[in-house]
Amino acid sequence: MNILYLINYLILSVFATLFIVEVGIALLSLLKYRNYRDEIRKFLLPIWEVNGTFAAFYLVNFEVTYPTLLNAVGQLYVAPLLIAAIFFILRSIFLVYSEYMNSPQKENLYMDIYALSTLALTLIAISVFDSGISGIGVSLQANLADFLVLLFNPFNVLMLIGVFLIAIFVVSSCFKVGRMHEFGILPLALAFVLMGIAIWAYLPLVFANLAANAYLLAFPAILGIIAAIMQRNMSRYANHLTLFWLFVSINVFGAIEYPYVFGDINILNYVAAPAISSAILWISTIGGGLLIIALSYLIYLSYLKRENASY
Amino acid sequence: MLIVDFDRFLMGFSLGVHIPLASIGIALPVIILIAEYLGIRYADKNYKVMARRLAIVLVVLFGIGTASGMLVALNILLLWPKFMQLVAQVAILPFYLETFAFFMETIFLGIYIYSWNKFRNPYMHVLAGVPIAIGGFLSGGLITMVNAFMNTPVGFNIPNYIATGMLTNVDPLAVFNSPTAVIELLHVLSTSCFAAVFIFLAYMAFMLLKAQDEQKRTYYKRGLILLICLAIIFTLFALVTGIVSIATLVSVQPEKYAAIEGNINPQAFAPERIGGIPINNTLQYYIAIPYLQSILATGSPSGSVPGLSSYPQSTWPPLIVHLMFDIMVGTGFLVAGILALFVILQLLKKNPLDNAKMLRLLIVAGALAVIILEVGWVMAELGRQPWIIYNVMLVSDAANYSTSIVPITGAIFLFYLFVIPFTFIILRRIFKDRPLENELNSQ
Repeated sequence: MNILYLINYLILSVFATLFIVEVGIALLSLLKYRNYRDEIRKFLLPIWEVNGTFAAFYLVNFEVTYPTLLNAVGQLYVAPLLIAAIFFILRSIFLVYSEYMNSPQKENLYMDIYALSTLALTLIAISVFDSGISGIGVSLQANLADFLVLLFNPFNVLMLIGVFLIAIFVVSSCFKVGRMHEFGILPLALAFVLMGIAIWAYLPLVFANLAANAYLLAFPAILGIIAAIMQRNMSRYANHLTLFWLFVSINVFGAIEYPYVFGDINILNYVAAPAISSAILWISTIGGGLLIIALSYLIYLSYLKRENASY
Repeated sequence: MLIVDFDRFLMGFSLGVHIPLASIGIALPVIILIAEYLGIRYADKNYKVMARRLAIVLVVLFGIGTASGMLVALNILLLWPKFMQLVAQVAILPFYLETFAFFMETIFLGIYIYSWNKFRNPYMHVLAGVPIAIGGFLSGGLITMVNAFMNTPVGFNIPNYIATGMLTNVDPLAVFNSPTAVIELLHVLSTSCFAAVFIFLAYMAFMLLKAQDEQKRTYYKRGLILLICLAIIFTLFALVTGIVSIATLVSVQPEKYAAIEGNINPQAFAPERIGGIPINNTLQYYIAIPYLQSILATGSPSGSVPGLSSYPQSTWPPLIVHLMFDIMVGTGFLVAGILALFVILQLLKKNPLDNAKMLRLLIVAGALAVIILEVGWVMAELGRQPWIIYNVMLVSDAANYSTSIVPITGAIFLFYLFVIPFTFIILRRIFKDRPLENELNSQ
């Protein structure tokens, strides 16, 4: 596997893992913010800005990794991505506004706007991602995109529902929401079925290499079942395993899809030239290492030594 | 209006919103850390509370700044895809490094905010905030390097690219050493800090004017003293780097220089032209100060300076940049004059902090500093027109001509018209809910 592709996809998978948890929290916040206020804020406040930064990180890494694909991406996705940017701004500002509101009504209102913006952002981002891998709704040759087809094709709709179901599974595992932990396996199973149907129906437009790589699916399947069982038994490590499962699943998805985008276009044709790739590797390795250390320290301070925080 | 004009407007407007936020993001951590250090060092509750309250402002504006920065990053890719395709192959490394600097800011901001009471040694908390300031300066500096590349492109065989469209002899590290990289970086960072410091100076002066009780007045006076010291430093830096960067243009961007100075023809013994009206590509009704331009640009009154007539008229920047330059410099001197007046009054022991007129002047200076920042950037970018990469790629060749940009431009414009004032209302509400006297008394 091409190393630049691997780095780019690893960044995407870390970002997607964190962001899917945020999507789950946005759903929970929309439905039962008051009941889970403390848990929601405990997770969100230290990490929401990191999520936003990861989005920028992925964007720039994508530009670095696939420079010759940028003209096409810019032409095809200008409308959905600029609309997504508006929701991204809404998400960020209303979350930060809510953080300092003394009035519970205002806080609730701002959290609702945050949650709705996050869900709208997710809808567009996943639709663009689905279109990017399947080519549905866009024509690379003609540089044309049909926003409605891109959003409302069966593949995208099923995948979207699947992602939202996974977000529910993840958040019910992390926050022990009511009795949801007992039924966590249901949204997970439904997500598997819907996403399976979507992929099966659109073979070989997506997962062209499924036959050769089918064994990889065993990893997320086994981990998912163990996570669901642990969640049902209220194991204290269920949330850790769930997050790990999510990260592994996203990576397996990328490994099976590799190396195609837009249906049948080989993405390796667009990878950065050797003149710049070694510099990217060095920066990614050193910067990534430092990033892991700094993030670990933030998590340690935010979640493990939080009791005395006053702001 | 052509689609490319919508691209231009959206890019310019998004940057116009983002640049003051980014400037605050660069300077505010420095102000906070100095305040916290002074608070601990001199056991001064005013500075301690100031650091905490300004940290809230930083968090709110950082959140919005990150989002507005994301919009700018997307705009660069989506509105100018051919430009980005070239940059990504030649000059992308500063952008890439910037994401790590940005992470440094973000992560340490989280650490700083959530660890006020977690260190036994309070200086360790100040230390935890230092990477935020370093990250801010690095972020601003690295992005400026890409802008310097747009002004003075390097790192590939330019004649071959223009002739064939093929990129050859690519050196991705050359972007760090483009002819304008260092001076542009120094000027951008100093002017960003200059503007941000004056914004908070104006805020403190305004609040001091309103404050009645002595406790609050002491707090705002402490803030003003700190900010005045920083304002003096950054004003001097901005002035020196500004003069050097204009002089640098003579050799590296002569058309931009000529338009900024209103020079239609190249000439020796050139006067400095102030004001004037651009009519039919000539500048009329201006005030001329003999020899000054030649002296500033070359160090000699007989020095020769470039003129627009040496270049094809199709590549002339709009002459309006001359007026923008005059507004920027004139306003800059006005702000520096207000600052100098404050210092003189202080030296004469006239208590400028108790002088309502002086405080009002500081409020005016804050507003003017933002105008200087914005006009300076508009002038710098307009001065490169019609090029997006000087002498390599035209704006019109880089643009995205999708018609969907038109309604989205309107939507983003209206959206920001709501978001910007709303943010100030929220900040006001936040501080209304946290009365200063309560925080001072709780220390």
